Amino acid sequence: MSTNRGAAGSPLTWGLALLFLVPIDVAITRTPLLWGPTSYENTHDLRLVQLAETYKTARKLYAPARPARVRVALLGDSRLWFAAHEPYVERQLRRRAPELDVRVDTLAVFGALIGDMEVISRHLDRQAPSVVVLAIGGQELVPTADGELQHWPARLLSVGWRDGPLPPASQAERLDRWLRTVWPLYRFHEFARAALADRIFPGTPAGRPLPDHFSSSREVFDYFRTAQAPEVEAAYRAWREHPSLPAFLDYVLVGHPLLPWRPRVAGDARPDARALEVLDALLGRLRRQRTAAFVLLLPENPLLDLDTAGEYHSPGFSDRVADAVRAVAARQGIRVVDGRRWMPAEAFYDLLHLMPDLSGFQEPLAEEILRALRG
Amino acid sequence: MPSEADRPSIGAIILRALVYALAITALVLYVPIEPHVFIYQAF
Repeated sequence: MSTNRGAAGSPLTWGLALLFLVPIDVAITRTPLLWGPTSYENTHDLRLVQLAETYKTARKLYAPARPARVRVALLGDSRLWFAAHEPYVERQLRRRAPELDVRVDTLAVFGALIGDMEVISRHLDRQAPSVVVLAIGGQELVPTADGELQHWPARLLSVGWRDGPLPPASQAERLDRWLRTVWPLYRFHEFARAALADRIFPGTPAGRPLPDHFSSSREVFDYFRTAQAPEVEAAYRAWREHPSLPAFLDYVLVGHPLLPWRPRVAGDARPDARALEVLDALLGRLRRQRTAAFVLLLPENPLLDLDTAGEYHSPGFSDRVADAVRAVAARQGIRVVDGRRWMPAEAFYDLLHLMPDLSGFQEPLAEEILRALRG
Repeated sequence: MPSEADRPSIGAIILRALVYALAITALVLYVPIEPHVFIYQAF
């Protein structure tokens, strides 16, 4: 007994325990145990989708699919997820520059706010991207109803020794960030727990990944709306034959009691001052890292111009965002590309999101990426 | 001074250290993540 007691409290035992933690950490955080495919990562359940997309974003940063000489990181929210899936952009880049060995990482999380994007940008140096595109639609710069400018991505991927532009609410939060900074297993403990549980008790696959190619709107509806696809396609055809805002809304409303995916910002909303400080910190980081970077103002549905009463959007908000973003970007010497009018109404899946692949958004995006690469 | 017989063996130390490391790992992984609904506010 005395021998066991001696071992229990011995500094040598604790030192060895810390040493043993290293291979255990590596065996989990640098292997498919954590980063392999899971049954839940393709869910479209709104309660879980932000977690799933944050997990996939972390995977792209810490366990990238393949090496490439040129790496493009795209930061954004669901609008980017719909429009800039990696294969669409990579295909377009290769079409324009066949010699390019390029990998695109679309770091897009549904509902991501500017605080989330800033925290994700803290991990960008892992991949040392050749080009970073920060895609802004405006809503990221306005707090949600809970008053927050960041949610799950910022909480789960929070790292750094110094406080960011949105300081932690408590010393415990700061300690949590320090632990995530120094200890990879702790950084990813929520993901690791979920992934390990999924390996031991595999769940029924929820959804499937966004396809690498769509050749028709019906294929898009089959992917997103499954059983309702024929009805949605009919409503979509009806609005294409008689283009108007009401016909478009009829199409978007199929199967929904309320308008889904409507712009969250209403009234005379304007970018939040704290949000612009976060944007400044994010762009400042990109400038210090000397990464070729630009801010892209995302395409807006031209049908919203017809909503003069502001029932479905905040008239004037887009210009207020553009002015504010340009001012911050100019301070940091970062180019702003105005893509707000890039796409016609028929390129949109709803009031906010573009049709994946079919919209053709990847074409002007690829052109701008190549321009940034060439300096 | 502990006698030679009281001094823990290297095997006991390694075994105990391994148990500690696994226990710390289990503790870290135990913290569950609770699904939230605030995501609705984001849209």
